[in-house]
Amino acid sequence: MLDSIEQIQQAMEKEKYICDRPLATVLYLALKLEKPLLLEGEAGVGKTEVAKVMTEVLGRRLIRLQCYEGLDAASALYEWNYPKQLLRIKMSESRQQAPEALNIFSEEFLIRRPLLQAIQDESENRHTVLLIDEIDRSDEEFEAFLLEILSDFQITIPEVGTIKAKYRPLVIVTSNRTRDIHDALKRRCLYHWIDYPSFEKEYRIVSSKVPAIQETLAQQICSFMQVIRGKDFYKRPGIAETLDWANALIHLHKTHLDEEVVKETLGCIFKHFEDVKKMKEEDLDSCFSLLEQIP
Amino acid sequence: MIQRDSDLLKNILLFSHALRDRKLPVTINNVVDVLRGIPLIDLQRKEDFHCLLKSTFVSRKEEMEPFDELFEAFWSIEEERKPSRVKPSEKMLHTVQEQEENSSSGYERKEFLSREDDAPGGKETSLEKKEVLAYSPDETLSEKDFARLRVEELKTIREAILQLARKVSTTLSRRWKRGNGGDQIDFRRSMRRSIKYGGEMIELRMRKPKPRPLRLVLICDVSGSMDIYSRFFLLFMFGLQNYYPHCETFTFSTRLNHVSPLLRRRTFEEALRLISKKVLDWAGGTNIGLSLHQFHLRHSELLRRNRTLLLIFSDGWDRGDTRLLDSEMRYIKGQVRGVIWLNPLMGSRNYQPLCKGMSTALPYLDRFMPYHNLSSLKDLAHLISRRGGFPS
Repeated sequence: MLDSIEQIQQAMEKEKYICDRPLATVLYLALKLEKPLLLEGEAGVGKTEVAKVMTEVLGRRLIRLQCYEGLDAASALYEWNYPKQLLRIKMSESRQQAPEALNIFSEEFLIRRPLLQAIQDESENRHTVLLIDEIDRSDEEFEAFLLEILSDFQITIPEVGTIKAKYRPLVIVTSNRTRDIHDALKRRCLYHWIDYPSFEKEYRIVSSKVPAIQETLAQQICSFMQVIRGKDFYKRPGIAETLDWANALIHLHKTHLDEEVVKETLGCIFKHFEDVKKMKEEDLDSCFSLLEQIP
Repeated sequence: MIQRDSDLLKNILLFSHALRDRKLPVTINNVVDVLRGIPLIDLQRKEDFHCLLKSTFVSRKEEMEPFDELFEAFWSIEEERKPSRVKPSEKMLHTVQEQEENSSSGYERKEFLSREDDAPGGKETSLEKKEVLAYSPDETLSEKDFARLRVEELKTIREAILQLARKVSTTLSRRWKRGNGGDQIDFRRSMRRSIKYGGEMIELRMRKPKPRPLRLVLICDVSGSMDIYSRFFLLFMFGLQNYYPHCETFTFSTRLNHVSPLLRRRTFEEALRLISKKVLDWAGGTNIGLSLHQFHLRHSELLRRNRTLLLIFSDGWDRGDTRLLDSEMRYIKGQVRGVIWLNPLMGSRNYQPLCKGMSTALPYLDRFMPYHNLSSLKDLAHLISRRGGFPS
């Protein structure tokens, strides 16, 4: 069991997730206080990864709810199994059972969607990790469904009653901040902002995730990323892009960065045509001159 | 030992009050969470203590900076003068308050606060409508051109613009009743009905998909020729951005800037300062075509044929390529429910949309309206309130 901040940090590093102390602290608090954790940050800084790694670390089952526009209670919480209900009615009719004996709105006819699964896990695996990914993509009214679960870890179904979690899941909510999350929901969560990594952190991430990489190339890649993130681009690259790039360079058998190599592989770093164009035309030289200043 | 604990509690409470003074929405539940967390961490490590307070008291990125500042100020004094733990922080709190009272923005802040306070109250009641009426300035002021307002009239106009923004927001947010028509079977209700017929689905219950809320996209020209008027439109954008959730705001002159995050949850003065800092070409030249092109490339996910109403606020003085403007207007027109162009120059009686940019855009507009005084804004508000005023 994880009983201190250090243990969480070590366990996550064992799973190749380089975790700084503040993040380990909020994870520890989320586990101990049994509160959901809201993670925000730019795309590609490893928000979703936190939930995946914590699942491994804790040896739990991961239940993932990917949010999208139009996501409703029927696909996130529960739905009634209508064909089964109809069949049951027909059966009881042919057996001429009393209609009172017919309870088609019971748990037997319930289809469990991710949120209900998370608080009432059928597979006896007890605790789970619930990942509510990219909540900013869902509609505002969907946030209201989450309130009961996030504050009391329970779901009320009018026909059945209130289902309470026997074992509270670790809930991780992520957001890319394309819109503001409602205060009511935020109040129920611990908050943590994941920033772009420092050079040292990124270097450790690259060396642990891409073990085949040479030291100098890894250093060059990470310094280059630091320089790029200091400039004005529409979508600045995250860690995911760094790792993609590092892998690409290894497959191209490159040992160091030069202008030609960078130009060829810009597609790994930037995902918008405008950014690629701007980089090629305006920023390439200044990036390299800045790179040379770094010892 | 006991003494020290109670002091810590007091200090945390004082700290939470100081945060609240800086407009962080801190609740008593947050304080309770902090107290629950304290036994879990090592208080000797300031880093962990900082993290505990931050994760509970902060709930958005913008709050991180003021939090860190206050944390440093509040808890550092604490360390220097360990013997008396309570007093310094109390003093700290007072200085914070004094600073705020003395600062020039203090008055504005309070004004903003009081407005916010009465916001949750009588929403969607007839009372609010009366309030709107009571606030609305008299006819002569409504007709007065924004450029000619006197200083003492500014406050009234400002109030009225924000009220109108709020009114539009409440009418647009209203839920629409679900009828029994529609083309989807509502299984849940049909099952309930069928029980009384022994499981035969005799009466089918139908449902309609819920109407999606109207999305507003507002694009404001902040180039040199627009300077005075764009401030008044920014104020309207500010109001909508803070009251209506399905709203995105942009400014442009030679390039496009997404300003929604800058307008949210701030005082208008602060937002204005941030915008002019970020928008480097504030009061520069105009390139409408290029700005719309950037909008097309980066934010086209905001355009929905049935749901999006696009408002462009500009005088149409364009120094860019009219062919680009033409193709972008055609594209955008095809992607949205309606395009409204607001032009401050339409206020003058003999205005004709002859300039290059305006005459290019004109064929693609659903409405071409003036925006130069309060009465023109009222017309606009009335139009948008009827769900965009355009058939979907």
